[in-house]
Amino acid sequence: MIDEGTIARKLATLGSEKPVFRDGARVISNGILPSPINAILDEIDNTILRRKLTFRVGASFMSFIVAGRRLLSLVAASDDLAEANPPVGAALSHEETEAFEAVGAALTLLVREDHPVLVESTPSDEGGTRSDIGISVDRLADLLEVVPSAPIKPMQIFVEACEGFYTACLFWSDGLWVGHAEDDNVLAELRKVADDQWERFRGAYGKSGQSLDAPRLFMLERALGEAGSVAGTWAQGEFALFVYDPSNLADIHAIWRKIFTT
Amino acid sequence: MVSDELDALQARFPACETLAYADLTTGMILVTNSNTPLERNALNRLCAEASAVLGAATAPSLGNSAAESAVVSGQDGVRLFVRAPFLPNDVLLCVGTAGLDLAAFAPEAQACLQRISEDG
Repeated sequence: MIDEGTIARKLATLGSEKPVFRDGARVISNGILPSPINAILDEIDNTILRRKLTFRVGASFMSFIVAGRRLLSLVAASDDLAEANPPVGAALSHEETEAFEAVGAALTLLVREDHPVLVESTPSDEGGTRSDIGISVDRLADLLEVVPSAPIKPMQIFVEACEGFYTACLFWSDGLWVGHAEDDNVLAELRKVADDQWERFRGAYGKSGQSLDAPRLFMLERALGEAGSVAGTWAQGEFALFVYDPSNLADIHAIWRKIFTT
Repeated sequence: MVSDELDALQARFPACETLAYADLTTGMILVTNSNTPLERNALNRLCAEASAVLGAATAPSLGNSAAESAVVSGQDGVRLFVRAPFLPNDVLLCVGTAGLDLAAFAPEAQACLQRISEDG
């Protein structure tokens, strides 16, 4: 039987943008999207041939031998994860409850901060054989109570995170602009932008030789005069428009970069 | 000289790799900082992008007023386009890495453009 979660994971992998590398390691999560634990599970799930996968978050790390979408052994872990008592050097099995749960606890500890997650994937002959039971990604997902197919809504996360930094907001959802603002007049101004200008703006931007697919944020200072500045963003087919005070530019920009870039 | 102004600003903000003084009416880059890594085609595309984002002074792209400046952010970095206050088709195009401190850089870019624009 084909599992929907597996399909979702494969589609996400196929549709992902070109990889970003930092210090020789591939960035698999910016700390928010995809969620760090999902990113780690996806990486294990995509590893068929025997590899040593080292997951790094800041100075913390865990190195596993992985094959056939299973964790065969834990070969190294940083000292700050010692409190989870990870079974370094041992062959892994979901039947060894204590060790299994310790691996889950150490992974949870590894991603405790919303910092970027990096992975190094190298060939390795270190511990664990393919015949070992290991820990499958599905068992690990169950232990960590992760739903791999849970839809990720980055634009909604962005809009919610920016609450407090805008005075009016419109969010394109299911073919409609949904908005809210304290001042109805400001919202009406923003609706004019959405209805009369947004598609034309996107068209002109595309014709200038720029991508309409890659996530983008635009912040136009004083575009509504005294009523404020206008921000517009798109990602994965979703849009949001804000009216904001110019003093909040840096905050909105920082939140956007945290969510949409690696 | 304009190029000296651009070089001086770039020296203060190394995370801003390209500074280009442009005329949106003609869509032409007039001067750049001396060590910009961008070639002519990329500079032309940058100017076209600024034109699309800012729109004409009399027909703003978004909103009902000509924006004083615009920030464009993406995986490929950050761009800041600044309009000269009295000559709104004169713009300063700035291309920076993700590490560019926008809050500190934007006022200096505006001041730089004002000096250039007044001298011109």
